Amino acid sequence: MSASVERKRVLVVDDEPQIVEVLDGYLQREGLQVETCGSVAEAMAALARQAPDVLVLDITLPDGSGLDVLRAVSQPGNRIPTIMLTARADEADRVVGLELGADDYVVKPFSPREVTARVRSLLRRIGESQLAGTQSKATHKTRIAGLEIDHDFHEVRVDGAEATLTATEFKILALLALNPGEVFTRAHLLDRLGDDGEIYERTLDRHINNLRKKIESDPRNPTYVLTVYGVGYRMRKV
Amino acid sequence: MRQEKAKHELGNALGVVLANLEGMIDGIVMPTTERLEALAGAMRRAQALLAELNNEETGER
Repeated sequence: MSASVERKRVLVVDDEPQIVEVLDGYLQREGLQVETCGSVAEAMAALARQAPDVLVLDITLPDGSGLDVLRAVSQPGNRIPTIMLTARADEADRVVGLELGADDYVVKPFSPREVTARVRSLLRRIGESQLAGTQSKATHKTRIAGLEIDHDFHEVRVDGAEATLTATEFKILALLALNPGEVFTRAHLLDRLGDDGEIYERTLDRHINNLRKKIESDPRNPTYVLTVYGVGYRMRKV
Repeated sequence: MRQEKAKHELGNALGVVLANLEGMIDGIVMPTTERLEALAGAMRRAQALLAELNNEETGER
């Protein structure tokens, strides 16, 4: 299948390698292309090579201030969506203020889960505004073996036969199918699906079971929506 | 100033431990002996920094 979605790029600038390594892992699991570096000089060089879709930027760097990097990417017409990592909340007020124009911030010591959630949310905001601006609606379908998902019309067919899914079941299936093979934890799935708070962790398994009854020929031995024990769920690779 | 630095380092040490524990829970990084040793090291560093901060505080009184 071809989701034909270009991978978004994230540049992480932080000088604590033991944290960056973990954050890198989380962001890659989001399907993002990640570049990391640990100084102002490296950050400037990386930005000159290629502008990322999102910049995650520590203020305190060994060779200077992340704010200098922020100034460089805050020029009108040359802006890069940025999440700042700040040591103190009062520092955060300054950088997110109009003055320097960061989009969001996380106070250190930060949790990589939290930063990943902020990156995801920022990318979604950017994506929505881009979609609203330029793209016309194209037919958008995903095919994985006998499974066919029409994202525009919310229709699902299995070996040609239509399966009637609830809105939540469809959302779960569509998300997994757009990222085949990628493992989603329950918390991650809820985060992606439950904006309106309608799904809870204990009911997620039930939605999955119902979904399997509708699309699997043997729901007890699923071939599409697979359980990764102790972690969560994934769609089969093509 | 020295106190500021110690606080900053304490925050960093705790950040390393939190990030890695979350990463292990979420299956992002493996709990290898090497990594667990590094986390124990970070906790020992945090303890030493805390002791340093406490000493300075009592010294000032």
